[in-house]
Amino acid sequence: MSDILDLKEPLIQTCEELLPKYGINFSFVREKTENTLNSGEQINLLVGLSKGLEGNFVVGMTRKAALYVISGMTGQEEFFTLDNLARNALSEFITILCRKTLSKVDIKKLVSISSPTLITGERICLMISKTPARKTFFKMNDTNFSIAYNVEG
Amino acid sequence: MDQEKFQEILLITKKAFEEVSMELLETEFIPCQRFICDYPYKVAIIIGITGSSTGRLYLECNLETAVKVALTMNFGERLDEPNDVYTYLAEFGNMIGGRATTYMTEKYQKNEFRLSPPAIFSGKGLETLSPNIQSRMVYYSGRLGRFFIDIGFEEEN
Amino acid sequence: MSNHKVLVIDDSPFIFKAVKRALEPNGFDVVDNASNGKIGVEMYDKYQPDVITLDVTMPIMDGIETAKALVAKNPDVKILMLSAMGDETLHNQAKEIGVKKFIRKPFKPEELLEKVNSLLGT
Repeated sequence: MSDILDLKEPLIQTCEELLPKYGINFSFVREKTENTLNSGEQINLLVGLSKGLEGNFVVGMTRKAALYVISGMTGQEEFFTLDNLARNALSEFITILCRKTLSKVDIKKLVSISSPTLITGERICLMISKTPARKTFFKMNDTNFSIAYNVEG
Repeated sequence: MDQEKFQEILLITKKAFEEVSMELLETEFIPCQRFICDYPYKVAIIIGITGSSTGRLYLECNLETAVKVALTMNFGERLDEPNDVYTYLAEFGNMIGGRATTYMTEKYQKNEFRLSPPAIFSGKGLETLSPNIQSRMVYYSGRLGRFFIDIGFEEEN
Repeated sequence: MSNHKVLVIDDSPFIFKAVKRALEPNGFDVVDNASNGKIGVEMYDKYQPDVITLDVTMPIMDGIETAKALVAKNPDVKILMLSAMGDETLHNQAKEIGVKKFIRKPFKPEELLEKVNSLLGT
């Protein structure tokens, strides 16, 4: 039988290790189970998982949250468009976040992570699985970010 | 990725899309000239790719086309819920990905392509970007509307 | 004479509809749809279907595990496995468990009907 993984604790631990390194204050707010269709943020980062685990992992953030991450990772103080540097930073961020989180889960198999895709827009809706996904909400400095996932092993 | 192999993968993806569209929707989508995707509301199917190369498969259409695809899959009947559009599109994407994977396995070897479950995004002014991706695009037009397909893989260092 | 009963085990509502449309006009009774294998095994006990259409990729309990559980209950269980991929390794694995027929998605109604009739020996 495959289990839908509970990644709340691994995510919190990963954020505790990672975000302060980028000069970001954060706190866990809550986790809830979302309907299969749920709302996205202004900036969304998606990776797909296959092989040892299957599913999708999406980081959703406000523009402000994205700036904090980009700034923390690159030293760039501001951005007006998502230039190459900003995109690369955000891609790197979700890949590191995903890998570190999964490294804290007892998985006996290798997991493959797809290339990150950055999705922006307004009034975004997303469906990352046929079954309800979990969404973990965090405060990041003076704004918010979330991580939605549905991962089975 | 070797350019010849990339071209082969693109052809396989095109074949998968065309075949599944015909079999599932009884609709022929024909490659057409590049068009500007300036719809107010877009719907995107994103499928992660891993295996011997890492990348993603991306299909995009406007909301009207997405609804037409879902209604066609629902045998012309009204959808039970508006959200069913997403469920049906995910199934559509799943079949295209599965078909492409089958052809890849036949041509190359086992596990050449592994796919993650489809993720569906919709929104106003939806834009997607994949850094460090070398991609190929194809544009399609058919009775139900237009699709834009982009398959991309990470550039090898 | 009562109709043959068919149970659909698939997380896609579209497949359930497609199976119903293909089989019900031809004298079959599509009794229910289970969205994962665990529910499917429970429904098997409830309905005792003549044929099961079984998806490969499902949450909680996938097609292979479900097939094992069903065959353990009844070695003669008639399963038609549905997959978007034509994976030979998967087919071989399923055959070893006792799955007798396969069909690729998407399928034509007449294809599905032919496979189901073949399973029933009609």
